[in-house]
Amino acid sequence: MHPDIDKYAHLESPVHRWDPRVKIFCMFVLILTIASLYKLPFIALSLSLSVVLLLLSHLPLSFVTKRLIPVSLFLLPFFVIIPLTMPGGGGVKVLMFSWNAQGLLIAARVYLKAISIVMLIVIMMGTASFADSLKAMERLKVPSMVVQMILFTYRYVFVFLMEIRRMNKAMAARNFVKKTNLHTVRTIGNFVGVLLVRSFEKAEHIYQAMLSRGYDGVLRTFFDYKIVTWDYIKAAMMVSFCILLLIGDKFMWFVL
Amino acid sequence: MHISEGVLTPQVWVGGYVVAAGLAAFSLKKMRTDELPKVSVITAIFFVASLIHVPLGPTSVHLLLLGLVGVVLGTSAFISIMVGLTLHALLFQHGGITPLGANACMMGIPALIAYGIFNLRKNFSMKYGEAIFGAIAGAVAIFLAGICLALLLALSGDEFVGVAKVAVLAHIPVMIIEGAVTGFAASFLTKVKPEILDGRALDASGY
Repeated sequence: MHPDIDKYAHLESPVHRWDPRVKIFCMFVLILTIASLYKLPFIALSLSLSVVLLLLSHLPLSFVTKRLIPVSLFLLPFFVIIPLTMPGGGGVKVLMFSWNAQGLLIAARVYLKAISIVMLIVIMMGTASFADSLKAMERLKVPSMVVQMILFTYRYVFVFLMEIRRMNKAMAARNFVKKTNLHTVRTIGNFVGVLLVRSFEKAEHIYQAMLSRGYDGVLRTFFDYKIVTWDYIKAAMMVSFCILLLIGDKFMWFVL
Repeated sequence: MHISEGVLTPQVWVGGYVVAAGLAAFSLKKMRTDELPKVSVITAIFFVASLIHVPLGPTSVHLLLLGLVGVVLGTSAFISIMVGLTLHALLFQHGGITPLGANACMMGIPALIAYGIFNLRKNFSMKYGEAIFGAIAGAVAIFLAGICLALLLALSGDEFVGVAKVAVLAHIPVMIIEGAVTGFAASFLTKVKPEILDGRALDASGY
């Protein structure tokens, strides 16, 4: 589990070339649209758009499939739990529960929506470096304090991952084996405490070093974004697609 | 224990965003600039907490550290958890963008309550006050998060009530482990660096 989101940020593709501000804005609109859909055919349509965007972005398939695992682990049990626990099940009985096949439809709806959105998040974040995306978020009026917090947190995560690995090694060298007992819980409590104290001091040093070099919370970079006509054309296509999806979902009553 | 994309209905995730936005604004307003490194450190620890596993019989659970975030950060805990969840969604695809508001409420509100519980220790002068109230705060935070999770799922439709029940049951062992770890961590911090628990920013004279 390593946040290697920057790995393919350097590739060349229509999605990579898209202005990050416009891209993030459009992706948000699309994600919120998909989250509001109800009807299966339109959800499938949105999933196909995600796949098209994925193909356009030249991101390797494995980069995306790997990231679909957590959401799948959370949602695949729904295919069993929902049909069994949904009220109004008829006919077939499994042990003491009644099996409601309608539940499969609901689970499929949830799962396809989730897959489609997760793919979009990966495309959104994977096609620009994290720093670029953050700068774009700041331009999109995310509060500067929040952007700075994300920036610092992102940096510290790598430091802590290393620190945790080092501390685990030290504990293993002293023959510590995790078991289900009070000793383990106490040790892990102290582990968290040590991690906190160490990281506090490190973070405070880093922050003071930054302040003494004139850091004032403003992100400054040597380049600036420039929106070209193509950015608008791509945005217009995405937004009209969203509107069509919403209209179809709402008014095509004859569709499932 | 994040709610993933696709589950919540628009009414629920929009509602989640409205509540979360209010609490985040309150949380940000109370936060000072010099608290930034401290809050970010805790956010990063919250972010990596899920990598620390505790064995439990044949399986293992991972830490959530909601209670600890609340105990150490006070009112800034909410924005910290929201940022941590944003990073989870953007980098690991745990949780998601649409349920972000709901998830932030589900974990952030219990963290704020944990802070309140931990503060009660000042009314009692007992020897292991930090450990005891830390443990209660840690356990209650997980309990409340489990209840919130169930509530959000149930609000999204009758078909999720079954899932909600399973989710609450799954939280009971996590609650016990988390309470114990938070208690020990709080007592460790009291001994080693009590100023962390005072709810104020560290300054250069601290070390």
